[in-house]
Amino acid sequence: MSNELDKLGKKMPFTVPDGFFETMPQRIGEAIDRENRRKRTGNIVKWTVSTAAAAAIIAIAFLAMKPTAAPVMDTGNGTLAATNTAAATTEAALGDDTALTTQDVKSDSTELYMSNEQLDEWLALAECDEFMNCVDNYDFYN
Amino acid sequence: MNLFKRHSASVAMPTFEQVIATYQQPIYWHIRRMVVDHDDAQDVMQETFIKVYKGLSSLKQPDALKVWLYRIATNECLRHLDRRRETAMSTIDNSELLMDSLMESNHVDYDNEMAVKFQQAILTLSDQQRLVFNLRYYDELPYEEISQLTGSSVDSLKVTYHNAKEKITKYIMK
Repeated sequence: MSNELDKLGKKMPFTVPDGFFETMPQRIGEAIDRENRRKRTGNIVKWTVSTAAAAAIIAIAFLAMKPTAAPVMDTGNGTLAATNTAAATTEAALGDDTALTTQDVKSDSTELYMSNEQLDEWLALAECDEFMNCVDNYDFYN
Repeated sequence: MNLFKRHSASVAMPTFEQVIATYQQPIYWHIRRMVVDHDDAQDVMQETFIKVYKGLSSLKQPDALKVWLYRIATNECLRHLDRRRETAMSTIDNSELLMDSLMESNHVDYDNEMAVKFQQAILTLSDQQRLVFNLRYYDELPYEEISQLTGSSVDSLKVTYHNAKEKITKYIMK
């Protein structure tokens, strides 16, 4: 069995282009240069994406933590609109759940800044609504 | 001068250029026998030497250089063959693909019929058998080095080589 292989020897049918081995070190050098360039480009892309992501996170954190101006009811509808705009901005930055909470807190704090007259008026309106509900539900035929 | 004498603690680590000069041919032929096609062998060769370039400074023992180089080249060959199998139809195995490469190459001397038939016989082996056969028969690596390279035991390698030789001889004799 080994004799058969011995007869064949180590000759192979494979050939290479002329001058292939002479130019191989140069081609390997070029391949390494290409690889280094590719790696550098990859690093630049990674660095840019990381920086952009960090900037976005800082911006979101800044928007979330930024104290909003205290809402004042004195100017009427305009102030209410401003409060709603601030709530909408916060909603966009932080997402629905957080925005709702923030809006609720703002609604509560709005009452703290009402003047006594406005508070009375507001309570009167609320009672009026309640009264209207009572009227709606009242059975006049009994 | 042989830069890579074994069992010589005083041997300094060769430079990358010296490694290319000394090993480009044996490594190329090892790769070529595994992937068959010249263009593929050239690509695998470049990938191999890029890895060698990156890792050479971390290699502490010059004595281990040869096995280390062959291991990188072998891993790249097997990776290439896996990729090729994945991109080809899954029903076709590597032997068929490599046989096609052998019979349709611009860089094969088809006039040397016996050598072509010998390579065809080698291509009927599994990747593992082919690897062991090539390393032992063509590169004349000792079983101990092939063992370090493949992670198989020397006894197991001897059996693999013996079976490979039998299979090749049968193919040639038929």
